[in-house]
Amino acid sequence: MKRLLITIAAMLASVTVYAADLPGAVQKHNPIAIGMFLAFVIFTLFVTRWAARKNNSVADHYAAGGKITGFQNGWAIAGDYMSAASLLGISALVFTSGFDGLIYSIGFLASWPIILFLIAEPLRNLGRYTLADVLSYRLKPRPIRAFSASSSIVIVLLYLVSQLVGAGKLVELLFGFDYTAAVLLVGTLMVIYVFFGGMLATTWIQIIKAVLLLTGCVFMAFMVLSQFGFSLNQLFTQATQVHPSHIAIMSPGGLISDPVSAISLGLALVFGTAGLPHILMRFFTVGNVKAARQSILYATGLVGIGYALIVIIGFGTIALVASNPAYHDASGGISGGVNMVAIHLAHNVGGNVFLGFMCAVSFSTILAVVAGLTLAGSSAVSHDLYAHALRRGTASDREEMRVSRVTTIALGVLSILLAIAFEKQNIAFIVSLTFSIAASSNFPVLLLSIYWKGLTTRGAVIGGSLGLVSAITLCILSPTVWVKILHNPQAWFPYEYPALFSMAVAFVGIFWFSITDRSVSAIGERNRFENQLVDSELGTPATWRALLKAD
Amino acid sequence: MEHTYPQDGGPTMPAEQVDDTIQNPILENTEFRALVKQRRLFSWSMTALMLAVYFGFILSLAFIPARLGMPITEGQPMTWGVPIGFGMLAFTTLLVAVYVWRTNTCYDPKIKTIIRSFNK
Repeated sequence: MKRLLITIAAMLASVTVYAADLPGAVQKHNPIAIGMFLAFVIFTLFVTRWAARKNNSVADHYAAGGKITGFQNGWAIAGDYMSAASLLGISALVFTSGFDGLIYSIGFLASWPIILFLIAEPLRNLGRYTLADVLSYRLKPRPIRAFSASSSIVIVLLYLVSQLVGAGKLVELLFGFDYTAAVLLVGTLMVIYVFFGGMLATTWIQIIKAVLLLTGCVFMAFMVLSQFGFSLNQLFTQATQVHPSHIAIMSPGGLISDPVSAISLGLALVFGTAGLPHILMRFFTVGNVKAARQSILYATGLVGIGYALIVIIGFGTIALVASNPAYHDASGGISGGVNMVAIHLAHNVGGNVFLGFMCAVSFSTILAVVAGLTLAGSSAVSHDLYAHALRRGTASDREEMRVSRVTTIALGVLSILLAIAFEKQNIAFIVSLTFSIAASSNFPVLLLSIYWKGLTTRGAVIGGSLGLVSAITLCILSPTVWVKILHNPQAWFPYEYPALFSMAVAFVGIFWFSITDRSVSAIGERNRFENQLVDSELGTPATWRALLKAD
Repeated sequence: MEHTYPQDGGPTMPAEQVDDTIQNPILENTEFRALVKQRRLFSWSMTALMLAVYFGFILSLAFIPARLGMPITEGQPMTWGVPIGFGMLAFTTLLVAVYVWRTNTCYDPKIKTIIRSFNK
């Protein structure tokens, strides 16, 4: 491990030197930014080394031995959930269209109550490491795990590639690295964190990132407001005077173009989070259901505060960045593109040091999210596909760990290659696509397995797969992909987001193929529902002792 | 977590002949039944409330955007949409807090009582 640290440090140094040699780097090198970024990377590698020593079993690797507290997990969930798209994307959305940025952030937050009210507690009570543990409580383990692992891998891989492409472009801009080198660096770091440190390292990297991100946001929002006498009204007055759309930025604009797309996006955001494997996995890292519940309260509060601050920061970018010629390039656009407005604002309110800090924060944000995704993807392969579907539960701890680590490397290589292949593509739509897929495959199956007695394996597998396929198909046929990316004259599917239709397909499919399931095994699956109900409400008897002891 | 599963296929038989699932005795417990009923009612009502408020907000954006864009005080940039939007974030967090508070204070003790009576 020590030798590895040295190798990484050498690699980083060579990347930095290489980047400094680049003639046409987009941004002048900021030594403070690169220094802070290096400090962050080295610190996280030490965290990983510390975590690696405690990473001795499957339970440690997937769930940090269940020893994370509710408070820590709340911060980690916030770190897992708020991607760089949250800070840079939402502030950029406010910068271009004002009020609409707020609408997006509301949708992202609205999913948390739904997860808490319907999913989190039964999930924690019935499962161990993955959502498939819950599904296979009464459904046939092999088909249901194969389905759940496949849809989880599709979600993880798409999300991972979209994050890596974003990371590559961001690091290219912030630090002047070459795109391919940046993707390689992020990909290598995420594999190291997960390979050695498992869930414990991932958790702490997510916690550190969330603390850094919120600290940065609080400082930036404070500095913005201080320039306007701590009056939102004055900030808005300045923003409406500067922005080309003037007062229109204070009202809902083009984001909600038609009601069907609006509801479709809303459904994807609200229910999609409850099907994201890297989010669901976090509930297994705490000791009991009460801690899981508590962690959602902390997470919702933190994410809510974060989004409120980011919206204020967004209005700050209109007021302070848009009118400042220092942040524009020769053609009059924002230097580095509109996604950089929050970074420019950091420079405006806090000078070079704070700019460096926010660059390092944006980078850490990406690392924390991709590490969580990689862990979720590798556990779907090793725990669901290998240990249970393939080996039917006979694999030893060591064998399962080995498969998990090999998968981590494979996922890393695959996502790096895909990210390099998609460099020139505009893949911003992929994030909303992953939410649509999760809302149409994992979520309906998970929800109905907990609440509907009539669910059978056949219904879950066929209906869930129909939801998965229809979400992807409709997205490809939508104007965003079919017209704007594939350059066809007319879209087959007229709406921007598929979730309204693909979720309907999934629920109807699951319902129909369950009620028409006359197989012998279906009878047992329905009958086991009552016993599952007891465990989902009270936890398994194995966990009772710990629960009673907690008093 | 592992169960044995009857093989697929074969003639369909009445449930009582093939099903060997032994029902958990807790299912007969009236306190457990009452707890499940109360919690289901509470969770689904809270879910319905959240969805109603959220999609109400989305639909008002789609159908009455001008109403949300009206200034609170004439001549000032602050519109009704701003406090409503930030209020949505606060409402979401508040709803989560209410759920956690009620579950901790009301349902957790009941769960423990039931568990104690069956934990031998």
